[in-house]
Amino acid sequence: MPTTVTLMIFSGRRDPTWTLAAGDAAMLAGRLAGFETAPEIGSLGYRGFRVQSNDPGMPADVIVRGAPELERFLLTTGASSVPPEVREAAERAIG
Amino acid sequence: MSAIVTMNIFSGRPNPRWILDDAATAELRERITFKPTITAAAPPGSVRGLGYRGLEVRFDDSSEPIHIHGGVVGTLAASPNVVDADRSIEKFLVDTMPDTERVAGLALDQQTHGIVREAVQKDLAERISIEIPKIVINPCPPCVAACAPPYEPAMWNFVPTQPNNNCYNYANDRVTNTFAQPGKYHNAQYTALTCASVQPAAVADGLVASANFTTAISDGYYVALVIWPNVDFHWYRQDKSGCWSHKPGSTAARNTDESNHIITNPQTANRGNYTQFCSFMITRPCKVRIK
Repeated sequence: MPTTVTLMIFSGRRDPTWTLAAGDAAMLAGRLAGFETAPEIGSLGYRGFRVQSNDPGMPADVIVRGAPELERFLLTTGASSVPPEVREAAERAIG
Repeated sequence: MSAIVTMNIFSGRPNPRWILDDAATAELRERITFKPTITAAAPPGSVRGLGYRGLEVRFDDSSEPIHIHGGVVGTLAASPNVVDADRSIEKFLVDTMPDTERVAGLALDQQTHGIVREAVQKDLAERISIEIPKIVINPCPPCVAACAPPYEPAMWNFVPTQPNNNCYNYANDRVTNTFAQPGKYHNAQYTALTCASVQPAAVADGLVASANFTTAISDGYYVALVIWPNVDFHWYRQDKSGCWSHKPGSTAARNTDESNHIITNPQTANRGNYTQFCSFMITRPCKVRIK
């Protein structure tokens, strides 16, 4: 069952989206237990991560923001999908 | 798209309610859009009072009602209130109240119906000289483009339109559901995220560069291109009100900047990471093609 992560950051371009490897998905499932989704925001720039999954052990659709450790973890899982300058901007916003 | 109107007038019994049909709902939206004067005042009946206290309107696509009374249209939380100085919007709505008790939501007998009408007319006649002009702020610059679209975020902020259309779609007022990219329709897509690359791509789509947004134009309306250097592009558009609005990516269309201020000029607005202002441009719905 695939779990996809979207880094919500762009306005004109499509946001970077990638599929989690099985190991990362398993780690994420544990970290998301009891996690309450953040509200969507409409600002320019970094707006968090959207995690969508068909896995019964995962939330179907959750927005992760305001949880820096979890956000940094999600950012590392998208290493090949996120250009360096975008990664830096996201890291700065996460703090 | 219809709406439900509630007249706030009673204390002990249910207030009269009725449904606005599609045409009346569209006219109401249009009337509010054409009221560009913004105020910090609230509709007087929304905060206190007994007797007639104005009307609440709940649109199909919104969970939050707007409140209309005493010369002010109290719009949704994220938008500024609008002056209705001659109370024409309120009178228009009052006139949509059905005439007979056959409408279930009204729950009025003929005599009560007459009393209600009389109370409303008395209020409408007495409160003409409200003090709203003293606190009016009208920050929007003049819109000199004949074809500028109204600010109607409800036309964009729903699935599937919202997630599949970006700032370029919104600026050009064109739903493609493709997250449109400058130049893509004409095989002339930008190759770098710079003004020098994105602007010619937009020109290939039919947009025209402009030095300002103050020259009157009879065809099209003004938009503005900004860049997050080497990362992304973003567009704003000038609406009929004269102020500007935008749609950040897959998020909702809005008319405020990153400081939550009304956008009177995108060149001076808080644009977050989109620090590079490229140019004002003119888009012409009949000539521009995007995908």
